[in-house]
Amino acid sequence: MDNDVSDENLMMSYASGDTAAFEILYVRHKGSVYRYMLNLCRNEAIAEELFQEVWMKLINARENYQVKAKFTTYLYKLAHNQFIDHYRKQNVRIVLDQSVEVDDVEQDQSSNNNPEKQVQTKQTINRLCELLDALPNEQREVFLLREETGMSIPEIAETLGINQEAAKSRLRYAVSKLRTGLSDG
Amino acid sequence: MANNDQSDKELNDYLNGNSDVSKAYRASNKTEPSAHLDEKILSAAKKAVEDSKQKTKPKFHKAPWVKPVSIAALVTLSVSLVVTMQQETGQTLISEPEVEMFDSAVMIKESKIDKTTQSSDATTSMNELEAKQNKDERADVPAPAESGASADLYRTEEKVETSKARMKEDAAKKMLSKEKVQQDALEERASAEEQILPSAPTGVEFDDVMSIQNSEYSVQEDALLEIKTLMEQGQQEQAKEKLNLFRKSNPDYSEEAIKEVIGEELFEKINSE
Repeated sequence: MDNDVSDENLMMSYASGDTAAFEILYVRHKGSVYRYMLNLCRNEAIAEELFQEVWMKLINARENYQVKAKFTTYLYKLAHNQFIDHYRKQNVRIVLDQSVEVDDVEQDQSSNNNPEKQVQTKQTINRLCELLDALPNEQREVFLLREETGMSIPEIAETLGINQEAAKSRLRYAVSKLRTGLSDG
Repeated sequence: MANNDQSDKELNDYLNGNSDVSKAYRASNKTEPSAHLDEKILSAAKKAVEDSKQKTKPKFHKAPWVKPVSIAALVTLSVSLVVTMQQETGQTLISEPEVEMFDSAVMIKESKIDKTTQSSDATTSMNELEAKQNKDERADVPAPAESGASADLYRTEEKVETSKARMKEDAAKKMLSKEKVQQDALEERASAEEQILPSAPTGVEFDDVMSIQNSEYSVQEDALLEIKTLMEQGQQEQAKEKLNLFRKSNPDYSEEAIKEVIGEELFEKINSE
């Protein structure tokens, strides 16, 4: 049943008082939103704080919610604005924090019995994290939206409030840099 | 140019899901928020819904005391509003029975004035009458403790009664002053007519004056006729004595009139001696 109901309908149900609908919605999107935040901020504590604020904004805005676009576009607009607000307040480059990813990768790969491949994967991931961190925020954000939500270029453009050419250009640069970096590494 | 074409190809491959970059990213990122964070957000979502439901519910909707209290408050407010409006505007909103009561009071007052002296205070009698009527009316109404009505309501009724009595008093004063003005006008008119026609009183007053004058005249005439008889009988001393007494007691009675009753001959005779 969870898969049958659209995000928009779930949100409307929650707006009319159905908390179960919110739970389904949250389970569907919590991972992608969290990773989006974490990869943007590169800091677990800040990512958790921003993640929580995004969902609180969604909760508080439930009564004014109207289906004008895809729910994911709406949700990531909130997330993007939250990140921008935080970034403006800090006005500093966010510190790289790779520990979470590395630990997770170690856990994820624990079932793999090939130690050589484990080391290679870990190196690739660490390299990707470094490359992601090296990307400008605009390019990294476009890349993360594409990876986490599967949004098309027009949807990314709508979410970030930019034109499609700019979104396409940012994504092209991001992919090119990451691919080149991984090949060189 | 060649770089752009390569970049476009890389982008298309990436968008089609055939890129090593995507595979590496998906392999690295399986991080989820903590259970504590999940619980926090879900409980906040539930709380928000419950709060909004409570906001829409009226809290004292089902309270049993709401209806009687609101009715009492409404009545109190309405009565106080009416009383305030009457006091501020000065308009008398006396109903028909009160006007009748006022008329009867005026009639009683008039009869009192006729029977006793005109110096009796009409306003005082009106006040007494009103007070008596109020007392009679109050006697029908049970006391607050007996009836069990609230003290506030009883006080409000009392205020209404007081204001009504005050209004009646004011109306009576106005009517009395109006009546007095009319009476003065009538008196002035009467005196003016008297000056023009002094010997022509009219109505009941004329009859009364005439009857009094006639009765006095008959007594005086009798006395003079008695003096005349004494003179005819030769008792001149007694006749002279009585005539002197008559003159002293009736100084306004003219010599001509005496002469007319006694006769010219006897009158000269009694005066010459």
